[in-house]
Amino acid sequence: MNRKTKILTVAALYGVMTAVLYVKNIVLAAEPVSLKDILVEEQIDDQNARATLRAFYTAPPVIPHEIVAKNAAECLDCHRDVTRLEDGRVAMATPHPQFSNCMQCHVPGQAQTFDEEQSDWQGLEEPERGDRWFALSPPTVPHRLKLRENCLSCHGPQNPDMTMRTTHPQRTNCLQCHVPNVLAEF
Amino acid sequence: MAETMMDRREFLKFSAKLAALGALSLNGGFSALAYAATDESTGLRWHKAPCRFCGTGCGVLVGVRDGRVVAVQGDRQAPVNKGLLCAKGYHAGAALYGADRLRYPMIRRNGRLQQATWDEAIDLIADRIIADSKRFAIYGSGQWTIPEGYTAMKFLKGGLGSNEIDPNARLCMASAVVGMITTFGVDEPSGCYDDLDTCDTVVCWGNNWAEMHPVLFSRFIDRKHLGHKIKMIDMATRRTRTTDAADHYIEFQPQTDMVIANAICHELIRRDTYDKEFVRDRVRFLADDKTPIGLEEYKAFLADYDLDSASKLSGVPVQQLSLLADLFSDPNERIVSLWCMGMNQHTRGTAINNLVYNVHLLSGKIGKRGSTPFSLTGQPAACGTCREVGTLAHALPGGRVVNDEAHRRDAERIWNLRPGVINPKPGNHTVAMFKAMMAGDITGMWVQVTNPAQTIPNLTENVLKNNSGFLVVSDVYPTATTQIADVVLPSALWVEKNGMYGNSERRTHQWFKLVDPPGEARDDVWQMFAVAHRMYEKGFEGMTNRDGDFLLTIKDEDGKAVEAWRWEVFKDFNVDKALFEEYRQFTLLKHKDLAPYDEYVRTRGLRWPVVRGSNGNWNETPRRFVEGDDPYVKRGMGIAFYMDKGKENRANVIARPYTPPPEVPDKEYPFWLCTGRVLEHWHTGTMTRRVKQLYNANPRAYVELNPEDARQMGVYTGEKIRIVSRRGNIVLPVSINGRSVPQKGAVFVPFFDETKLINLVTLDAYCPLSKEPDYKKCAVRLEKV
Repeated sequence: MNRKTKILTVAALYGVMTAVLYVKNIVLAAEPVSLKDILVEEQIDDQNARATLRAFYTAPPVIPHEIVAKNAAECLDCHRDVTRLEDGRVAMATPHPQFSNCMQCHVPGQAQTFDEEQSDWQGLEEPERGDRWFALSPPTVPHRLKLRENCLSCHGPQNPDMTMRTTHPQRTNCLQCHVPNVLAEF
Repeated sequence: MAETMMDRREFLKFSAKLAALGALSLNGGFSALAYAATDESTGLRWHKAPCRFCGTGCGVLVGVRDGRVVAVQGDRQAPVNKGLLCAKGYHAGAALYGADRLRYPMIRRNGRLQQATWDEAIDLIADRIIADSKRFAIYGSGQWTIPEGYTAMKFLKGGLGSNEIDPNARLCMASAVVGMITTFGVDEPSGCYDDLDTCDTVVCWGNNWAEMHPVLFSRFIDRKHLGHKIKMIDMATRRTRTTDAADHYIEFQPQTDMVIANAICHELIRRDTYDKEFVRDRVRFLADDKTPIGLEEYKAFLADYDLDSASKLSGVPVQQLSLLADLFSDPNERIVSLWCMGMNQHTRGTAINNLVYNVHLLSGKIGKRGSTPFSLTGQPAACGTCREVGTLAHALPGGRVVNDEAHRRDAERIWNLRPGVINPKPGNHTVAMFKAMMAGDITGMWVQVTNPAQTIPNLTENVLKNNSGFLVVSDVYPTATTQIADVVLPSALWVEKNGMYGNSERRTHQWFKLVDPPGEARDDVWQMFAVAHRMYEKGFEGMTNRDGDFLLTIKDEDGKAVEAWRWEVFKDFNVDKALFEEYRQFTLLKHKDLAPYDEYVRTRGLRWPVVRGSNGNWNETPRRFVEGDDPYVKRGMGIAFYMDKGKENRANVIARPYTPPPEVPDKEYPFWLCTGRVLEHWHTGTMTRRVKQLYNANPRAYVELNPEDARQMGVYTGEKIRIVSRRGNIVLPVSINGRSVPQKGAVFVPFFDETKLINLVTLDAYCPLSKEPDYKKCAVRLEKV
């Protein structure tokens, strides 16, 4: 093969690949997979359930379970890594293990004695899903990264919340592909 | 292709936003210079503000959409908290939206509070003040913004020619002030929060900072994750969350903190490990009555505090006292001492403050990176407003006092008053003021930003029953105090108005109004302007200045007077800026220099003295009295206590003997009672108990018992017991091995719950020098109910 043939071959191959990707893109965009819809719905449900633990998006969630822990070391017994309890519940791993005074921000939330009528507070809603350039491109991070620096504590393979699990836990440098919205990061 | 195009447009928009924001750092969209930015992903505009609650002074970002606060987060640009907050701070926005916000003025008619117009209320207040102006008091707050406190001072000391003004800060930091003035000749801590980043050891003197100053606490203990070798010594009468994180817990008998401090000094001298050079050059010894003494006399005074005697008095084992002495003896150990209400709400509050300074002065652990005694404050502007503006019965702005002729002349000049208007005789301090109100010696009072009917020691029932005077209350929610008021004025809260606060490390913060107050609620500053102007209209002479103009005249940039007493004018004009620029003139005398208002707009607060450098920049002072940090320390001095009244740049080591508390447990009342706060609630809970997450976390008051005492009494968690003192009683559910555990023979009750007024039980004995009452110790008995 001379030089000219090489160039032509590469160009032709490139053209075919682009065309394939383009067609695939159109197909995926035009006909959403129904399983995806179900997953999205589930994800919204899970998101809503989590949202009830916060006064507003970005607020620290309250502690939904009874507390016997007296200090951070005891909180981290379960929350340093994902812990599966005997009764089937799963303790999430903290996304910010660098902080050691858990109950500075997370307060007991089990008692539900507050009369909702007493407050007109309307907090900021949870964010929508991340953007994609096209169907195959990695979605952007839809939420802030502040205090959520450890992606795998929510998206890790052991997370009970299936829809949030990453499909590719072997890739550990999340922000290489999933970019945050720097304008939302105050 | 279409998608690509859109993306490019998005990208261009993004670039434009980048440019608009100016310097954009990779880990945060909020540039260091910007005080507000728009986040189009959520449609929010984020603005900087200091947190509404404690004296730590965290920087928050307030998210606003459609005229409402919808989110709050920690401000990463804020040097105090570096992006982190505590549960109160995160929920500060929700504190604005309690359903029962006061929305219109009310006047008591036929025994009931009834809706009134602003005009009626202003007119009534003006008439009542004019009728008996010298016996009208203002009771204010460490949550007053700087311009609010300043306006109240000018209104009362300049306008009424009286000194009947005192803040609730009297109940929280008066001992710290007098302690600092007697030791250093000038108020406010010389160290700063940065010392927590570099110290080796923190010694807590009866200070549960894990709950009361959680952001500072975690700023320190999170250093363990960085591999720093740090330790914490918790001296207390109760095991708390602070104890859980501490390396040593030193339990002492109430009031014997004085013994421990003297014992450390005794050991430093006995072992000959005190800092001789520092003591020679920078320290002066004084007897308890402040007559100068020598080192030998001081040694003789300390003779009573050898380790064995001190151990017997304090209940602290000799080994633990030794441990403290070892630490302070080590010249390489960098130590921060921290304290707050434990030492201040003390019948010898001033003395114990002096004693802890003694320890640091003898060991030379002051003015060095990571070594300082540090007095924490409870309220967001206890320093900025009460201490610096000086909203106290004896004070004038900028560290001045009314009984100093020159100081009065200064104030009369800056306020343009007729000479001699300012009264040289100090007014009543808080406890005396309420007693005078009971006795009819004060006939009217205006309460702002505080809730005395829940917080005055041992006076609540009296206040509730015998409110014979005319009581005006400006507040945001119905409280125990508005219930007994004659006029209730609805106020703007936090970011519903412009404001400025000053925190524990001398940092002055500024914020802008972000949302409208609800209903007809209006700024406290405006309320005072409106009443003052009504009095002026009615011909009350005090409300005129030397030129016959309205006392509270403020001018716009062209020098034209602004009709700030009219709400339509007030709300569109930055009255705060005008007042602050006027107030700044007061701050030079004691070298508490403040920068122009605009410098605070563009920064996350500056620590005074803020002095203009030769390059034109306004430079803050991290550590006061320290060469290189503080421009008022001359070159070559190293550390200079330049506000020393003896003009020798020395600080005073004062020989304060241990004095037993006025009431100790006996057969009839065998338990100690201590009161205090919890992490989730702010003061009397009027704001935080209206936030769902904070309310649910800690809905009601309780009494903490030592498990052994509980066993002996036969009570369990949740059972109710009656706490009885010589003054009153209260029934509360028991908490055993809950969040904190008091020492044997002691109980603890938080004071946030308006349905359970623990101050019916507390003692009103106070420190003879600072007049600050002791809420931490009195004798009670417990009865099963």
